[in-house]
Amino acid sequence: MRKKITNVTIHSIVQKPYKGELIIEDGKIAEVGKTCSQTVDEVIDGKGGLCFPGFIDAHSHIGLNAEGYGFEYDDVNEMTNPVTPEVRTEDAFVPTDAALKESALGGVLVHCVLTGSANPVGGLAFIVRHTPSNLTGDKVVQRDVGLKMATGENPKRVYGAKNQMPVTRMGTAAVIRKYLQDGKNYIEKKAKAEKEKKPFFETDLKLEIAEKVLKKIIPVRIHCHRSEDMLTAIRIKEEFGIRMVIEHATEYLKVREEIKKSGVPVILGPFMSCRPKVELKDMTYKTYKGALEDGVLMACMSDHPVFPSQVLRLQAGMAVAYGADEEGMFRALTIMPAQILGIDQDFGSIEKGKQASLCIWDGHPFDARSRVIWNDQDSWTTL
Amino acid sequence: MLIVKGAQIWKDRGLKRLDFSVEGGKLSGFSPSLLPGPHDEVLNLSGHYVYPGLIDPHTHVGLLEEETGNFAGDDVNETTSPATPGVRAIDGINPMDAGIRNARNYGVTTVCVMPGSANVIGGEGVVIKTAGKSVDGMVVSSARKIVKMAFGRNITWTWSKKEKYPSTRLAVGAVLREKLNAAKNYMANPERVCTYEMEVLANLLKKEAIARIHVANLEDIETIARIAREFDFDYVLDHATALHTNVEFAKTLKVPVILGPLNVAGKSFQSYDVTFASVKILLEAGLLVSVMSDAPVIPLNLVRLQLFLIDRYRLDRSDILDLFTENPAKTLGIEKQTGSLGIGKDADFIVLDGDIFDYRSRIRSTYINGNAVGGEDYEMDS
Amino acid sequence: MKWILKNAILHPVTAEAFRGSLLIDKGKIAQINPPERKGTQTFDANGHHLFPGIVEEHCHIGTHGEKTNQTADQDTNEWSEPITPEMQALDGIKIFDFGFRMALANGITTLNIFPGSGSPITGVGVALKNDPSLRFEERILIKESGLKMAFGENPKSVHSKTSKTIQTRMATAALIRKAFQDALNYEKKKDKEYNRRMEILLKVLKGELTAHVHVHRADDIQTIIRIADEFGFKIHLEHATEAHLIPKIIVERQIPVAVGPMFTAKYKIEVNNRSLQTPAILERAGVKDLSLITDHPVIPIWNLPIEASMAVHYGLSEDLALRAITINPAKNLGLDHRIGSLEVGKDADMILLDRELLDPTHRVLYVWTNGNLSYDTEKEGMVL
Repeated sequence: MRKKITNVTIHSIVQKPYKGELIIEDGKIAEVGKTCSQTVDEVIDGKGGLCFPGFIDAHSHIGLNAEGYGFEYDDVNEMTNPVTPEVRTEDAFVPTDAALKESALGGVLVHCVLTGSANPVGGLAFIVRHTPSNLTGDKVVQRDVGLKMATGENPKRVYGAKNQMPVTRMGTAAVIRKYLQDGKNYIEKKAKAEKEKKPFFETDLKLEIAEKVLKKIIPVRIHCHRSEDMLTAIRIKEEFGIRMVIEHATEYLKVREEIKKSGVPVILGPFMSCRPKVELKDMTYKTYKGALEDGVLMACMSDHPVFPSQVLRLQAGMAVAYGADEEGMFRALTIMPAQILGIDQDFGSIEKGKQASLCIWDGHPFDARSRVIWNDQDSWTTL
Repeated sequence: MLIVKGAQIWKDRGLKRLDFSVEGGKLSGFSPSLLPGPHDEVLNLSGHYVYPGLIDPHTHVGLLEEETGNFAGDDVNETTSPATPGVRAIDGINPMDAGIRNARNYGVTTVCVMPGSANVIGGEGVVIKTAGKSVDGMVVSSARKIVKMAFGRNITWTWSKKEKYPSTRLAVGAVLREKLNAAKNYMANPERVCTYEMEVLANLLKKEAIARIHVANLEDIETIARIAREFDFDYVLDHATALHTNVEFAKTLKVPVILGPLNVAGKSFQSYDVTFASVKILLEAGLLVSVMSDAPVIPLNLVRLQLFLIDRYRLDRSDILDLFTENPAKTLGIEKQTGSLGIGKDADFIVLDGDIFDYRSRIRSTYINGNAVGGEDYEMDS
Repeated sequence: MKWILKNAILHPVTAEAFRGSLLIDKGKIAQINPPERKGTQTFDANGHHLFPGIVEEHCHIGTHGEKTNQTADQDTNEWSEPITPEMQALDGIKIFDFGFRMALANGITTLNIFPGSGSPITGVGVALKNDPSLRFEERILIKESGLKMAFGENPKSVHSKTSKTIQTRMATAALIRKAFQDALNYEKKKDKEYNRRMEILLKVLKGELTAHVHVHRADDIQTIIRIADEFGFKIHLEHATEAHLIPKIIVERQIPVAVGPMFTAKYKIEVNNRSLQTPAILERAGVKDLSLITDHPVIPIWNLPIEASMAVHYGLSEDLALRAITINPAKNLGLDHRIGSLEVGKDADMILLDRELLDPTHRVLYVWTNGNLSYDTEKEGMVL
């Protein structure tokens, strides 16, 4: 089944926008250009709209606190133990969360779902895409894509209330270090058993994940707002030689040199909110502009439900208002998060061979009055 | 030998006019006309209907006792740890519980009794006949071993109140993975010290036991299926409240399901999809479906109400009876012993004065292993 | 609008069943077996069974949130204080609650909704016509349908924890006595400020409002009779689980009894003597004013006609079984001039079934309220 989309302006992200056509076959982009030559079974008239790749929300808790269900469906934070690498967002995800469909109307078709930030070592993230199915399995793009960690006020507040470590930022760093050190010891123990050709019967599911982190198979996705927390994160990264992504990075501008030097990508946001915590005091939309100018790998997050994923694009629009490059902010919603998440071979731009994760907009996405009129999963959409 | 004469009997998916004989607690012969010998006892049931004893594959009778006030005889959830594979339902069952009396008086001859759903791993369940004073003598030994598990919000309600792990559904699967991993380590360790908890889980991984998993929502069923693939064990979905909302997915699972309790109002979001229609939908999808009372949630003196309400969907009545007889027998692995009337099977049957689907008809007597043990009139006498 | 329902087996409840037709006019039953008229819209019942809409005398639909969150949408019990007659179930009802649809799809066209049983005096009930085509306020049949009171374990277990005012049955009785005595004192007082709490209790004392008393045990039944006698007010017994142990008292005093929910486990000591034979025993003793209730969500409301079936299974006459879910609750609510049977002049609340109502395998095919088709099962599906 081949479908052709015509009469659209193609915003491929990798090229300047142009009026063109594209062909979808088996869910992939088979051809894209000013005109497409292959014969097709169906032609979709894009009504002169703007065709964008689906936006990627690289940091979200969508599906973990399904809309309108209250505490009964609140599965964001396992606040009973500061070290819970073994928990997986996939196990708690509610594929029928109404927010998924709403997000699609706002152009967000891919979400990376992480655990909350109550625990210094949180849990495994996974990536979903929007589909009409009521099964999680039908939405999974990739499993176990990163281990969530957290610094700053949240772990302190949660465990401080229980008089349990961590009560301070020092404690948080120590908990993380101990976990990674346990992982190193575990790897050695395993290697020893293998060397001595003995059966290994001390498999530990918490430390299996540390092993993945230490062997750089998955990155650490570390929640940091303040500059000192980011520097601590980078310090730990250097000590253990692991891959890392800094999440929120609210005070990015204060330590931009250090972050740039470390090569750590940042996922910025959500800055469209109030400042209920001390560590958010210096939050500003100007951060996006700075990160784009520095050329670091950067994405724009909703942190849904902190800020609704449906209007992620408005946050990017605000960044433009505060001086960020518009084309850069589109990259922060598409190809850059795809690169950070390691799914850029399939998502993040309109190119031949990639997944046809596509939206047709009736106006500029940063204009609050615009909306998605068509996407590859729902076809024509209604509000 | 007992010769039962004159009744319409439910055999091979239909009512037939057959006599039958009982010897040593087993059914020993069927014929349109059996001639009793001089020493045979004869039971004339002209005008009566005989059906196999009903099987309820998911109950807490004897564990969660009735008539004790706010369940003072409550031994159903060992909520001191989220995984208690070492506890056994058999050790908590009171055979004198009104729930077990109800079962036999109202036609249920076999029940599976399991721990509750507060723990990810609740403990070992047991299949028993519903008459006897000592639970050991009631055990149906041919049944496959059972490990009760639970997923979803019953777990998180229980443990979040205690501010203990697993307080969210993020960690429910993790508890199970951790325990099964421990069991794998245990099995691999040549110098292992035998622990009962690990033996129970090892039985599961060796497929000697089957997991019976309490679950409501579709997303939790997916998680179960994932973990079952990771660790390779057999399971049954109990309740499976939302499974009918994706029939294609249900078909791919290829596991038995036990639906219910269905005669209940939706008291929370997680029971949003509860409906009798699920029986029809999943039967038509070709799954092995049984129906549970979850007694005492639905007390077993009302077991037949479920037949009546399912009959509103105008299914084949043989299929409806199967939900309460052969299907649960297969699910429990006792189909060679009970669940239908056939030579060599336990003489577990019920005698009614009319069709079982007629609300006016009464269960005149219940037979277990060839002995008359109850009936509706027994209840009224007591 | 006039229309004719023809070719049905009519079960008026108040008379023998017969094959016939009905003329419906302006939402009322206008004529039985009307002559054929050309031009009048006709509905062919194909020989199916037509019964009056079922009446539920005691349920919590709407105050209990169906299929929703246990705390966010539960407004049945205001258990902050033990005596709250000023509460109105009406104010706790979620208008679009799924329970209304569940009731309608199963043929229940009138609902009396009470506050819960967590306090000795919980508040005032409301009787609603379950007609989705009406605006909510238009559905109200009786704004104050009775004062809900409760005895036994529930007020004890709630108020020993919340207001700490009750530890024993004695305190429940004492608080009720005090409340009514306060009302009498209030009435005598000159220059008083209007007190709604007292005014509601005075309505009960003056016989303008009936006390519907949640009660299970025989001793509790006798306690409320004692109190009612002391103050001289009318009572109806709700649940009345042990009524069959003291049928004489009930017959002598002609107290209406609402039995149910009959299909729950014996999870409280006070329901240990629950029996499916209670209706039959009461009938044999001469009780005529019997109705059946589900107390939804305690058991789902679709069980209301099945309770009648099981009561018949245990010896209740079919006639009283049918009355117990139609005309008797209507009478208890003071609505028997409008609903509860198929009679000329009554509201055209009707249900068409493929089998008899007492056969629990029946399917509800159509439901009409005030002469309008409110539920079409073929189109909308069964709700079970």
